[in-house]
Amino acid sequence: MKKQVSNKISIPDSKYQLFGYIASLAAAASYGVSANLAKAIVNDIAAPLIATSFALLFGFLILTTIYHKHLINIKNINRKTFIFLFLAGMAGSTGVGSQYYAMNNAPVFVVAPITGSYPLFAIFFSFLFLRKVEKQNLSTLIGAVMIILGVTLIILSK
Amino acid sequence: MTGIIFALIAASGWGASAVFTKIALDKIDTRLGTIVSLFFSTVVMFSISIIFQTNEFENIELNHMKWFFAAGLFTFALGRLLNYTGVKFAGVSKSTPLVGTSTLFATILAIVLLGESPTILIGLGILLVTIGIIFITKSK
Repeated sequence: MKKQVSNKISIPDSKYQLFGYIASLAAAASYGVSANLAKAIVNDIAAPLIATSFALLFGFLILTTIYHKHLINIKNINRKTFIFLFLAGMAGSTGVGSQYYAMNNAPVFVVAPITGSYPLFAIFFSFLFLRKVEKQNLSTLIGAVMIILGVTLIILSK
Repeated sequence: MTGIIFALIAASGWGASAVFTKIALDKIDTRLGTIVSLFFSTVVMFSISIIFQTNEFENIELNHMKWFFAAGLFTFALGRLLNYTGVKFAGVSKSTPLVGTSTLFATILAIVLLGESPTILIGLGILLVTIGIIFITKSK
């Protein structure tokens, strides 16, 4: 089902890749709903940090309730995986926190294009650290740049 | 200048997060990985909130919980799980730009549900995002 290209990480075949595309776009749609929710919450209910803390707690509880049977496998997770999951969470949280500080210190038309360019950073880091398992090509880069430009236009139009 | 530096930190933080996720999820189930990641994020975020915004907790009422529940459902239970699934199966360089289209979905929702008016810039933005999605999904 998967092509092994190194001892450590494998590349999914095209069927899995299509599944990945659909999941990514579904994630974007879900984040789209949450962006509208966040606007309402931050305007009327709670400070961003507090709202994010409670939302994280509920997200954790929802998934733990639905997939509690998978928790038995937690003992099989090695230390390296734990560290990378922790780093992923920390890097993501640093991103959110830094965005708030950026918004406080610069206008949206400066901050939005920079934060919106995070896919380019992801592609760059992927090129640096996942070169053996992820092929980079011009189409992906052009597609990422077009999405960033499009998203920036949408943000700036508001 | 401070704003630009923090914006760059934010963008690089999210970019790095995707790469860490890809490495972490190679050996484990996406659902379990998402739960563990949410556990770490919850502990860290509550710690930061308690340290910096203790007073804000006094303003929280029980009826606010339904809003936090909805945010948790869409942002973390669904959003992060699907995001991690995308990174695992499509790869960082293809999944991340696609997830980055969330602004497009937020805008469409705001137009449909909240009655916001679409503009020429929004139309152009949607066109660019759509072409970008086609480029990424068609690339090998």
